[in-house]
Amino acid sequence: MNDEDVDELGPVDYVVVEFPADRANFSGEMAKELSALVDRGVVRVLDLLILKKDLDGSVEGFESHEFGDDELGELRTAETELAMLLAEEDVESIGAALEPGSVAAVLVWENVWAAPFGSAVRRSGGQLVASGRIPIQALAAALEADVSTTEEGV
Amino acid sequence: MLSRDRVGRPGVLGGRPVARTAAVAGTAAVVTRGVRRRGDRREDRRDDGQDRRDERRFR
Repeated sequence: MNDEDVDELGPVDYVVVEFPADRANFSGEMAKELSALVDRGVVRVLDLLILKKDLDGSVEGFESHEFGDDELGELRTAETELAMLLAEEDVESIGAALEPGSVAAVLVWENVWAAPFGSAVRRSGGQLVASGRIPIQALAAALEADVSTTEEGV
Repeated sequence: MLSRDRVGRPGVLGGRPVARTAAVAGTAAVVTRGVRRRGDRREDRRDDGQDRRDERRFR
């Protein structure tokens, strides 16, 4: 990834999806949905790691190519896009959030859909001053309050 | 095993332990319904406004 790529880069997000060790399943539906997003140009996969946290709390990271097709399914097709953004330090940071005895997939992706809009903003002289994610609990609370207000006829 | 390319360089997550997200199972459906309901009400208000504009025009 060079400077020109970074200039055209959409916002980058990550998720950590945890499974109990005996129920880890990275193939099937999850992989299919992600592949569809990649195919439609909505996202670009920048990194994919598998973490295992032992019962003693130690965390080990694995590269996606260490897993077979059966385990990662269609996610492997996105492997060519990997930019290997995460460092060993990030594995330790993420490991702190995992339950002992669990397996987790860490996915980093670029929101490709947002890049043209960001470029348009810059060309128009605008600049991003804030962004964030509204927690779904906050949305639920706001909608709940809205319903209460409506029911009370306020 | 992690690739050697990931070792000995700063991370991108800020170097602090990542906070665990609270479980939201079941909440997404509630929010989706709520957002739809709010969208419907906005649509109703828009229709009301259009009706009032039409009334004024034909008065």
